[in-house]
Amino acid sequence: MHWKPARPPASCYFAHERAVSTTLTAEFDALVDREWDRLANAGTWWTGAERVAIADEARRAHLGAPTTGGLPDAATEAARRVSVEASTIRQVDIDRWADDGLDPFAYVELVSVVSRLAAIDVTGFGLGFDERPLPDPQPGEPSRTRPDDAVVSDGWVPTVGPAWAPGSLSAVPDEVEAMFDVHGVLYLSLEQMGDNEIVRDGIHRTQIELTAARTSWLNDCFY
Amino acid sequence: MLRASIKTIEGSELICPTITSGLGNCGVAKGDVIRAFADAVALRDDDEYPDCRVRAEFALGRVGADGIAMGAGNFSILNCALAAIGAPIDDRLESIAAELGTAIPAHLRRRS
Repeated sequence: MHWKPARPPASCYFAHERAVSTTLTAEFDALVDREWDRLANAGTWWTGAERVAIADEARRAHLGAPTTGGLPDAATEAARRVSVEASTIRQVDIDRWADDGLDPFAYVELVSVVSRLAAIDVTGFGLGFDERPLPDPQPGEPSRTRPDDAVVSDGWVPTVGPAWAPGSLSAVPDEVEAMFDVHGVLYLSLEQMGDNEIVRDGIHRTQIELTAARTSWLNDCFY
Repeated sequence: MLRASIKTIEGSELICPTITSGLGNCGVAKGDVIRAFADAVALRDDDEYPDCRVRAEFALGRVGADGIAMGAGNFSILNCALAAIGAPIDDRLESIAAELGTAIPAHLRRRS
């Protein structure tokens, strides 16, 4: 395990139980291994060093810590806003960041990196672990490829098809794949999503969806 | 999805306003414990977490509590991503939002 207990346990019961790895914590640890590998390496629009810097800014924003200044201003602001106040972002912000040099396709990748980091950090907290230190960046250059059919349709950024949940990051296909990897471990696979009676790890679908509804409401999310 | 899934359980009925108010039985088994634990996790609340975690483990088992933690983490991802790209929300969902005691923000509303 790369994680360590985060905080004093509430009881001896909890301390004893948490010391034991479960199937789910093992799956989660493997997921973080994969996610850290993705984070450390060049993506479609950012180098590994830039992706790690984006994640660092996101974590700093959550802690209220100042910026490192390691990214261009627009990327720094975007990473911090997505991390702590995504619901306040508007089209004018994305346009302003684009005017300052943040390509909308690069913005989509930034959103993806910060979003998955949020999922990993929130889950790690819930499992009782500290945040894993960010990975060391690996060399490599981004491919900077754009899907021919990615256009701005009904959202604020280019997408392939409508800007709904499955297509939200479709302007950067590798990020879609990464997102579904996370969903499959933390929520349900695409196949499982169609089963309203599924019981996963002793939790019925209604209980999973109650968690979803409550979390979304807490985050000012309406989706 | 919550409403669709609860319909699969005979005799169960969803009480929507309690999801957002945090008060009362929402109709989901162990719903009060899940709601409290999801809050502690999603908000990364160090003060509330220990007790909520223990209550969740007693109610759902250790693996079950881990599953709720993962669900809270997963929906943080969607919240960030969809809000940040301006994914529109069909105004036909306005009635569901009203049931929850909220409303779809104007900047995300799409006329159907």
